[in-house]
Amino acid sequence: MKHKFFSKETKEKIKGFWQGLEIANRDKATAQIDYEVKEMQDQFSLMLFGDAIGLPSPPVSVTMELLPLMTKDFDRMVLRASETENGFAEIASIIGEP
Amino acid sequence: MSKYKIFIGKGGVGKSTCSSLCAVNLIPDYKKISLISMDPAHNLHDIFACELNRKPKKVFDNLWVNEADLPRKQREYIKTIKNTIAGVYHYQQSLNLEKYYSILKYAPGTEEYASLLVLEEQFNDKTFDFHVIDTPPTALTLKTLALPQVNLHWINALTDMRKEILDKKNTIAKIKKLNLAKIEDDQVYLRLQNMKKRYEKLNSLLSDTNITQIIVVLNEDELSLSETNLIKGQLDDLKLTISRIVINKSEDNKEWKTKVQNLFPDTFIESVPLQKSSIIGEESLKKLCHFVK
Repeated sequence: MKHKFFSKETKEKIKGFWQGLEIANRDKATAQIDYEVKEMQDQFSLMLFGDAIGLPSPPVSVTMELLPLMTKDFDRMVLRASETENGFAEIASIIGEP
Repeated sequence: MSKYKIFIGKGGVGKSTCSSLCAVNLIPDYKKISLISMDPAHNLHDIFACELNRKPKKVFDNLWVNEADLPRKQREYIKTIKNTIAGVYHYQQSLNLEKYYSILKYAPGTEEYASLLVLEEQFNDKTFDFHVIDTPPTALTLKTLALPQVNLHWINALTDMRKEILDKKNTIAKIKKLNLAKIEDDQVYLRLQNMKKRYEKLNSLLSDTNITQIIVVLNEDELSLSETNLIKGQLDDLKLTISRIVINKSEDNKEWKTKVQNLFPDTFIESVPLQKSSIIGEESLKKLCHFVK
């Protein structure tokens, strides 16, 4: 007769522990990439609407076609800038980020 | 497939006269010919001695002529901007935006985009076999011809960025064992691709010398020769070829012809002799049209 080392309940707890550890490790591994994605999305918005802080931008014929699809991205960039209470510097700093 | 001849050159050299002569010369060989003036200071109505407007008018035989209303096109374009902004920023509808739009027409880029829209209309119009286009003075024309490439430059850079964002998102999705995103589902990417197709088409139509011929008009004077040289440099940068040179109001000065030939050794050069009076009306145009082929 096979000896039961752990009860079913304990096995579930151990499984949950390892699963939690795996998720935590995955999140840790993806946190930097996640940050980069957010930065790149802001850079994308800035490439389109950078003239708000005096940066050269694509011709209006390009930006106007994309504007209706970019409202959320644009809002996020503006929100990020407003949270620092130094909007221009924050927006400009996006270009310098990795 | 329709064909196109675009006449460019310094203001006052006689682009309208040469493009009119060229259009009349095409009459026996094509079923339906269109001649359009994109110059805000139109003078085709003087050359054809009749009233013209933005709609093509049959002047004689199988030749239709019109004078594009660039300010109107610009207004229409600004209206689309206004509608876009109103659609995006609903809350601004209570504000008086009219005041702002009245100065939008002076915004950089709107004039050449309106001009490009008129040019694009010509390329999309299949009702004519041949389109002869009389352009505005050099600066605006060069900006208009460059716009598809300028826009493509930005569109390609933005597309690459969009792809990179998606790649990174998918890296995260793979690690987290989530569903992968498809680039085709990205609305911004799709819009960029549509824009790319449009400007690539315009650019290929402009670059294909079997479809579009760019003809530069000049006079026997240093200023117009110097501007022609400038045009050549800028068109070279855009990889657009000058198919012909027309020396208008020529006094058959051999020294000048050699000068121009040295500058454009591989380009066909033709001359329109200086006339005692202005070239106006059907009879005079038909008599002299063989000078501009």
